[in-house]
Amino acid sequence: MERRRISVLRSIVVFVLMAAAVIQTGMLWLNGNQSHNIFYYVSGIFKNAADSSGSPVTVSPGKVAVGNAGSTFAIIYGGDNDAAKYSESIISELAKKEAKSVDFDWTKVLKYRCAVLAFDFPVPTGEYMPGFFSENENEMPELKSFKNIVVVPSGESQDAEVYFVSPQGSKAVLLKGQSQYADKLVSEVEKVSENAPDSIKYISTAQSGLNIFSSNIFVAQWTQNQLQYGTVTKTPAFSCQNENDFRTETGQYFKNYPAVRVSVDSNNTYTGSDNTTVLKYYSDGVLEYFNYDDSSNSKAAQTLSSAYSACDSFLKSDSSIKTGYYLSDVNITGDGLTFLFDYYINNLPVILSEGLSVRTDMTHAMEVVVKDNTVKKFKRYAYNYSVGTDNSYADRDFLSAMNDAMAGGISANLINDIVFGYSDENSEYAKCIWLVKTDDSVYRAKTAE
Amino acid sequence: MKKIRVIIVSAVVFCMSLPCFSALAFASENSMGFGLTGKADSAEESEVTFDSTKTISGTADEGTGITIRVYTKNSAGKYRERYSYDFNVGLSGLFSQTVALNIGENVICVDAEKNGDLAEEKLTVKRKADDIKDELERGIYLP
Repeated sequence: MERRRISVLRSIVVFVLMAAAVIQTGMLWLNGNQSHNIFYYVSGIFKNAADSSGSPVTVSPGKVAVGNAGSTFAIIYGGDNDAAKYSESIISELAKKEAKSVDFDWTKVLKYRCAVLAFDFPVPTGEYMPGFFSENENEMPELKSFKNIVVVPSGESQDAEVYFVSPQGSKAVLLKGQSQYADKLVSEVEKVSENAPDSIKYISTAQSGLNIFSSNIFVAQWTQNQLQYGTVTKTPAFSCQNENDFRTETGQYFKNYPAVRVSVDSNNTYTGSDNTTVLKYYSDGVLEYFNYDDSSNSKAAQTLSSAYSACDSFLKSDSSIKTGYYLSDVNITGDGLTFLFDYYINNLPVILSEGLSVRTDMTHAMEVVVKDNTVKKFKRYAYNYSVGTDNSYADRDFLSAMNDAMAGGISANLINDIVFGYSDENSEYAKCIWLVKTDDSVYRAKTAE
Repeated sequence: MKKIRVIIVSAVVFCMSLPCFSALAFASENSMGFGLTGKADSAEESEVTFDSTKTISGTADEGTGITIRVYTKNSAGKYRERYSYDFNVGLSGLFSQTVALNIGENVICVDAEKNGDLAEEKLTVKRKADDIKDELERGIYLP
């Protein structure tokens, strides 16, 4: 009996050693190609099961407009704020409610306390709702995509309404019900509105009766004849004087840090690589990251939400990004899904100037390519911004910018946004400009005479 | 009898011509396409708000000069100009300005001028103090 027990024990030990040997051999000889390993599929099954039980992940809004039942709004850039989080929690709770198609009138909804999650691109409904584990996309046949979600909370009764607004702004899908986050959002709306600076306010063009735009937009306006604002300065995210500096400062991008090979060419471009990763840092401050590791690919089908989740995790783990950023566009390319981000500072966006865009071959400050739910490429205009000590002023309002754009041949009913933000001209400090956007063009107008 | 008939005919002609006169007057007022948009309720003479600002938007022909003045009452009950904004309407034919409001009655006068033609719009906005809002929200009834 005792001998049999020892035999079983010996068999288990032999099996564990065999498994360890196979894994070790795979790691040593297959050079990280874990997908060649017979245990990969087993671990993959568990990994996928774990993926599907995580918290809801959806694409973040570019900005959140917060209205406290008045005629002006506060704007918060990015989705990393409590107004966006409470709004998404309400959407998550109401996602399983019956969806109802309704006619939509901005003026009727914006007169209540509300948070508007505004996206810079049309978000496909069928791609967004699965982020909340809802099958509601099947019940929203009339709404293929949206650019705004309006969340109207009622603090006392915990009731909340969520409107997914069509890109044209005349139709919406309504979700209605009770949410434990309704009163939290009410408090947050009041807090944001109270703390918003008096010098700059945002108005709704629909609420103000300026109905010549393609849909409602929120535009900046100031209460004095001119706006005084702080200019911003930038500092490189990496300060590389030699190979060792580069190796130290970019270690976070490599899985096998000790094995990183670094070289510098005559253009002062640093290149670092290990077996699966190549990193380039150019003298103009652009960082490029390439991931050739197929072993980290997920077997699960890639959706907008799952790809954004991978992108979000990647950016959040990048300790060199010290300036806030927001999602400004999404493109589908042969390489995968490309998420485009821009920075914001002083609660205003930072836009790359036309010259800088040409020099860096970038239209946005950060580009993240995700394929098989893994970040394959990352390109960043690697600077961090801070508010400087110098002030500047703006005395031309959004209508002046719009008049300029119309004089330049842009039709008013094609305009889908007018943005007041900093323009990085690659000079010592950045001042503000107006950006008049249509679906296929961007017009830049000055903010001061 | 003849006099009565003349009076009746004159009265009828006068009444029938009234719409024409008013239409002419209306056309004169809007010869520069001037008007305010986004009014809360045109039927109400004044608007009550807790907001610290009010957005004045409207339409007018290109080249129209717009002046917005905000008046508040002083302790003697007399109106005093607090803020003033001047600008010209551009190609879009739109104008918009967010103005600051004081607690109490704010009279906002919007003047438009083009080629010697003048037009005017007036709004009264009563701004209530925030503590009244807090009390209302807490459900405290003040007799």
